[in-house]
Amino acid sequence: MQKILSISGISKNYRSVKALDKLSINIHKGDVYGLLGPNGSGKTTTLGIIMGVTNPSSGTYSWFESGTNFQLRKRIGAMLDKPNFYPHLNGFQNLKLVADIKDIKSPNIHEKLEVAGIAKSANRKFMTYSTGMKQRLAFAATLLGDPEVLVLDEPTNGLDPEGIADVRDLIQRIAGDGTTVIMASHLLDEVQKVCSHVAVIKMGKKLYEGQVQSLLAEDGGIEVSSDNLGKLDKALAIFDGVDQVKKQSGIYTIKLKSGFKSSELSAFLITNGVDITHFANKKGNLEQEFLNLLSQERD
Amino acid sequence: MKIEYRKQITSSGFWILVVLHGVVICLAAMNFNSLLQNVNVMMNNVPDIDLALRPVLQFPDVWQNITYISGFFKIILALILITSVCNEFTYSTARQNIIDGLSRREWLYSKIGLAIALSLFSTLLVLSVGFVLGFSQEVTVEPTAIFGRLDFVLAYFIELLVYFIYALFLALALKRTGLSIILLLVYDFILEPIFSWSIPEYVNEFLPMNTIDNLNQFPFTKYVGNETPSVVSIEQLIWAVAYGTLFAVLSYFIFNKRDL
Repeated sequence: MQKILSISGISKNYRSVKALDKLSINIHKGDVYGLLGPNGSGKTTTLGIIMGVTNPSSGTYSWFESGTNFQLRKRIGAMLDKPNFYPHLNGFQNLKLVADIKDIKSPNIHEKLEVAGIAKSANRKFMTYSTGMKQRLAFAATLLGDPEVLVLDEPTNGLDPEGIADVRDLIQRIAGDGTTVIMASHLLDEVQKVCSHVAVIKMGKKLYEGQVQSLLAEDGGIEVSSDNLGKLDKALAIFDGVDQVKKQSGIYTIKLKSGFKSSELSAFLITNGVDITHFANKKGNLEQEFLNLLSQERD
Repeated sequence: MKIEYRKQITSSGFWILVVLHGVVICLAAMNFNSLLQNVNVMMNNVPDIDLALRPVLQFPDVWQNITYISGFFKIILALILITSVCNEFTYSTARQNIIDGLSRREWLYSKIGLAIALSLFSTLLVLSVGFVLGFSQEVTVEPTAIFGRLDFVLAYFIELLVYFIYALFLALALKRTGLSIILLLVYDFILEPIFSWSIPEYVNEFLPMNTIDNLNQFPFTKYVGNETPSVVSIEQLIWAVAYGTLFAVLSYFIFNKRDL
């Protein structure tokens, strides 16, 4: 599969502060890629570097396996940090300017304004827009020319709940059409709902990179309960594969050591005469996994 | 240029300053004699001369005189360049332009394009005003007299262009409109004159602002028989172009190295 973006060993220092530390990431065509991290983790710096507005201290990146030429950015629709437009121009004029920069011959500006839900305010000056309207205009700008890649930094910032739902639907629709999406967010729920792949970064270092589903499946644990908790306790005490047990309201959440499967645990419990009333592989949620990754790094 | 045109065409600040510059030059032309007299007294104080009786508006003298006077008003157009560049940083639109696919070099070229367009506009205006003033004099003139000293108009164009590129450099370096305008004025009217006093005169005339201003030198002393250059100095022209190139290169260096 074609590599859309490859980041190789990028570091960025702001005087003594290390914002990025040899970060390497690969993103393939069709990925909906989430950059996840707490505030100050280096997400925006990463996007700034790949969009040519921040100079890396070291390392390289390459778009479409073709390098860093500015012309390549014309194939990308990007919205970083906040919407940046000319306040004295109206919405339509601002998008016309973007279309000119991107050398788009037929930009279909009205269609994009319609899609972003801002068409009715196209003739109003940008300076009169509300925060949500500015965000919608920025989103419309990213869609101009039907880019091969969307790069979005906190795309739902400043939007009301309806706007958030609209943008999520839109991202999923665009991704469904095969467009690659790279999205930085600290909203875990958003990333979990929208992204296929995720990289977790903290203090400029990558802690995890892979599929969202793999991350969630990795460490959810197994929920077990029984009418006879005493028997369950005894059985778990002698099962070699138990790594961790959490007990809450008669439900045990068990994490197994690596190499052990949930089927082995269920067979062991049955063999040892435990009456199981509930047995389920629990899917993790991104928030829990995210916090786990951050706490592992701290340790 | 198309992109810069779109940015400026609906900007009220741009049009206010362009019209103001045009109006000021036209007003200056309409009151040329009294203005020259005032400037004469203010700048060099040659009190014995009544400029109204001299051929200041006749070809070819009109070219040197009007370009000299119009040079005072270049600051108005420099404000357009400074506000345009600084606003791009205030509203992060320079950053967005690069994100959208403009190269840093293209972005800078668009601003230099604006500087060229403003210089051209003012030069054409001064040329038009010069023709009107020259032909309004009831004197028969030869074509050689009309067109003979147009090198002052060319020098006026270079003077404006280099000054605007200098303003562009300040705006890129400081990124704040007020600060850039203050430094532009302070350096021109305070710092460089102070610096001038402490260095030999042959070096003094090659300081940036002196070089720019000396392209069209104070012309009126020639009417009392003093030695006044009535040609554009090629050496000054070369120095001015060198300064313009230096400021443009420094601007590129600053803009290219900076995180936006």
